[in-house]
Amino acid sequence: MQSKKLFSKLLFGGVVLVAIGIATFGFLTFKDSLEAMRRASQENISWSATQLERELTRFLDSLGSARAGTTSSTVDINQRFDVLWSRVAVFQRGAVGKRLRAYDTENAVGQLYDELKRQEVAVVSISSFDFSVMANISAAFFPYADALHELSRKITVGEEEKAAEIRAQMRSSADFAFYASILTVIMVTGALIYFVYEGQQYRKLAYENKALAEKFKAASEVKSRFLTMMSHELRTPMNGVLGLLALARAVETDPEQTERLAQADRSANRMLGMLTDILDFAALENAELVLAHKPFFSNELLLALPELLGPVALQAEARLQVKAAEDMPLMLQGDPSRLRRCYALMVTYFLETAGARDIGLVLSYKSGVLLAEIEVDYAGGGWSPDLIFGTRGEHKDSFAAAALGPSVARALVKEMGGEINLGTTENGKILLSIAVPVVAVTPPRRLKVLLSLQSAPMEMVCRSAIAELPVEFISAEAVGEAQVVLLEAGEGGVADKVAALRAQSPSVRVVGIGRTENTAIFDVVADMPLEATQLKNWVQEALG
Amino acid sequence: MTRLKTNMLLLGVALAMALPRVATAQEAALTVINTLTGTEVSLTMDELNGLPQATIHTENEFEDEMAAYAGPLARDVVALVGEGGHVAVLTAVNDYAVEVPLEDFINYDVVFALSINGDVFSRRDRGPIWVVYPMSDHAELQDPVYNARLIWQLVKVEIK
Repeated sequence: MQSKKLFSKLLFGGVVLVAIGIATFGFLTFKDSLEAMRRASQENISWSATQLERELTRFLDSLGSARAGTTSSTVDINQRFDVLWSRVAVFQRGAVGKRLRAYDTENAVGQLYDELKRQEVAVVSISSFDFSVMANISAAFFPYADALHELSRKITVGEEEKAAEIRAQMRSSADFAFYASILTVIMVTGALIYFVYEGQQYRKLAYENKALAEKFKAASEVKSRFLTMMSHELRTPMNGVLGLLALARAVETDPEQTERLAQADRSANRMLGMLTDILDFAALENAELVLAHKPFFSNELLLALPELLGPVALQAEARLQVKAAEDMPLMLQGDPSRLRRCYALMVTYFLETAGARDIGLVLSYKSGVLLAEIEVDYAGGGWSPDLIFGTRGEHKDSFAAAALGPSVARALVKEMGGEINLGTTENGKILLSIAVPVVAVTPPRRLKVLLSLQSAPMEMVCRSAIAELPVEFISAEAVGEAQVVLLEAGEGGVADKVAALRAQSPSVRVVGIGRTENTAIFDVVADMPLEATQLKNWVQEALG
Repeated sequence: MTRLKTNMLLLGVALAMALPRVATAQEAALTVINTLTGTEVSLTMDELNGLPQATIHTENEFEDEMAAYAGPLARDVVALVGEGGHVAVLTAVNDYAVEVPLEDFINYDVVFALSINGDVFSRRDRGPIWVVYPMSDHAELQDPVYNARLIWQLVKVEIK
C-alpha cells in the first residue's frame, strides 16, 4: 500500500514536471520564432542594397547628363556623389550595416568606398565643361554597377531564404506546439484515468476497512457486554458469599475456623475487586465510562485509603503511610471514587505483586493538579518497575492478571486527563507520580452534626455514611449548635431527649437511628439494617 | 502657451528670412509646407540652429551604439507652418518619402537631428537633417514601422 502511494505521488509529480517541461519548451520555441519573425521584419536590408545600386546609377546618370549638356550641373553631380557616399556609409555601421556586410563576400562596397575616396577630389573640383574628367569618373565607377547588382541580388535571395527558414521554423514550432499539446493531453488524461482507478480502489479498500472495523467493533461490544454482564452476575453471588462469610464470622468462636473464614473473606473481597476492575476495563474500552465532576473533601481520599488498603498492607506485612501536604485545599472537584480507585489499584499492585515493604502516599495540590506521590521500598526479585506500564511480559495473546490493576489505573488517569510517571527517589526507592487535573473549590457551609449513639460500631457506621458530606461532628457539650442530631431511637427516655433538643434549637433535624414505635417524634427514622445512602441523603437535605 | 511659442518662432523665422542670404549656410536646408493652409517656410541651417534645440540619447539600427542626437524638435518645426493636418510627408534628398502621423511628433520627442555626439552631420553621413525617434526611451518604438521613419538627408516636410 505504501509503495503504491509512493508510486502515485511519483506519477503525479512526473506528469506535472513533464507537462511543465513541455509547456516551457513550447514557450521557448515559440519565443524563438517570434524573435526570428521580429528580426525578419526589421529594416529591410534589400531595400538598402537596391538604394545603393540605384544611387550609383543616378550618379552615373548625372555625369552622363552633364556630358551631354542637358540638365545636370556640377552641383547635381556633387549632390549625387554625396548621396552615394551616404549609401555606402550605411554598410559601415549599425546592425543594418552588419547584416549587409555579411552578404558582401566580394567586398564590392568596400572597393566602391575606396573608389569614392580616390575620386573625391576630382568630383569636388569638377567644372561644367570638364568632359574628359567626367568620362574618367564614369569609367572608374561603371564597373561597380554589376558588382552592386549582384550584391543586391544576393541580398534579396538571401533575405528570401531567411524568410523561408523562419516560416519553416514557425511551422515547426506550430507543429511542435500541436504535438506537445496532444502529448500533454494524453499524459494528463492517462494520469487522470489512473488516479480515478486508484481512487476507486482506495474507496473500495476504505469501504472494506470500514466494514471490517464495524465488524470488530460489534465483536468488541459483544465481548464487553458479555464481560459487563458476567461481572454483574458474578458480583451478586459474591456479595452473598461475603455477607454469609460475615455472618459466619460473627458467630464462629473457634480461632482456627475464624482464621479460615477471614482468609475466605479476603479472597472473596479480592475477587470482587477484580470483578470491579473488569467492569471498569470494559467500560473504558467501550468509552462508556462516565466520570463524576463533583465537589469532595480532600480528607475523603486521605481517610478512605488507609481504611481500604490497611488490610492488604497487613496481609502483605508491609507498612503503609498516607498523608497530605499542609496546604492541601479542603475541597476539590472531580471524581473522588475514581481517584481513590486509581491510588488503591496502584498501592495494591505494589503490595501484592511488587513485594513492597514500605509504601508512603503523599497527596499534594498545585496549580490545578492533584499529585499523588507513591514512594515504594520493594524487595526486588522477579518484579521490575517497568511492568507497571506493561512494557515487559505483556503480549497480544496474553494478559497477566496482576497487570489488570495498573492497566485500569492508567486508563482511568488518562480518562481524567492526567498522567502517571515513574521515577526513583534519591535513596533508590520507586517514586510513582499520579498527576490528575482537579479544580480546588470553596467548600460550602459545614453542617454541624451531633452523633448521640450508644453503640460505638453504630456511630462508626453513621459517621462513615455521611463522611463525604461537608459536615462537622460536634461534641455533646455543643449540642446547642447542632443542626442535625443522629439519635439512637430505641433508647430509654428518647422522647424527653428529643423534646430537649427541640427546645434548645427549634430548627434542629433529628434523625432516629434504629427500630422504634415512636417515629412521630423524629423528623425521620433510619431503620435497621441501616441504608448508608439513604441516611446520607436525609442528612444532606438539611444542607438545603 | 504653445500658440505663443509658435508665434515667437514664426517671428524669429520671418526676421531671419529678411536678412541677406550668404553662401550655403544661407541656402534653404529644409522646406516645411502646410498643404491645408498653403503656408510654406524654408529654413536655412542657421535658422534651424536658431530654433530651440533638444538632445535625445538613443540607439537605433543604423548606429553601433547609444548616441546623443541634437536638433530642433519635430513638433516645433512643424508648428512654424501653423496648426492642422494629420500626417507629415517627409522627403529625402534622393526623393525617398515616408508618411508619418503628426501624433508621433506630439507623443514623442522626435528630433530633426543636426548633429550626433556633437558632430554636425554632413550630407555624406545622413545629413544635414536626420529624423530620429527616442527609441531607447520607448519600447514600442523599437519596431520596423518606426525604423522606416528614421529618414535621413531630409529636405522637405509636407503637412497634410
